[in-house]
Amino acid sequence: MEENKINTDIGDEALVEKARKGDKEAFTKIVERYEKKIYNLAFRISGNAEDASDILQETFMQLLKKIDTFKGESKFSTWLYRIATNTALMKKRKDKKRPSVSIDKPLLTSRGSEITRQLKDDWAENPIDIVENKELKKVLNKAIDSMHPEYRIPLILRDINGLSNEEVSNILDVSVAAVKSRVHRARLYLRSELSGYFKEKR
Amino acid sequence: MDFEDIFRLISDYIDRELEADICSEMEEFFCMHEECRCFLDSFSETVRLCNSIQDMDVPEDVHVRLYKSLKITIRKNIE
Repeated sequence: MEENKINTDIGDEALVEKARKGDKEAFTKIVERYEKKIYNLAFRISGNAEDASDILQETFMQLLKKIDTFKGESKFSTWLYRIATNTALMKKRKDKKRPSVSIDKPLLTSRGSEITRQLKDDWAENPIDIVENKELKKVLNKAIDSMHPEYRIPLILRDINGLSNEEVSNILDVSVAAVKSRVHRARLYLRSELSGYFKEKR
Repeated sequence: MDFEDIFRLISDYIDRELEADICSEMEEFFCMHEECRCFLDSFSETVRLCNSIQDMDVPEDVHVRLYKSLKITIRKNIE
């Protein structure tokens, strides 16, 4: 791919329009803009670097094939995240190796204890203050990674990628109410996993 | 308002998606129930922690592989 001379301020939709007309520079710019985001999304969904690399590759190959079909009904980024998420889910279905925690009622931790109505946990230490703590990062990533994709993916898109409920609903093709419910349950699960960590640290 | 309501509405509360009167009711409840306030704090911290997760860089070999594949495919499409 060639060195990019396109103005960095150009919007996604204008870039897509140029790329559709065969402008290689515009396509390269799109790849540059989203490569890191898609790789990270793929890594978080798949849980490993090898699969993330394959998903990244497949997503942009799909984009190359499908770019003509982008109708602008949603933001380009939402449409691209949807391709990446579907690619990752397809890969997961093929592999089916990874065990995950199901977050059905009652809400259970990976160790089997119920986490619903634990209101007493107060965190003596502020987790944000120790976010650089590698152990905490490990606990957080492990907890996210252990969730069933039905809950993990909405959480990743909403709370890590910072998308709105509407965007997540569009990407996953589920209702906004379903997104909100899944993100809520995922947050409760995560809080429970982290609370345990902080209690142990005290 | 009770603990069950707080438990059910807390995500909407921190996402600022509730009507002002419900928020006020919840805030009153937080003031009256220390345990509930702690729950709100730890729940909010959890979400803030997720928000603070940084993207990692794409490994060089992955980046090179991607660009190489795309270049080949684009060339094939043109031919």
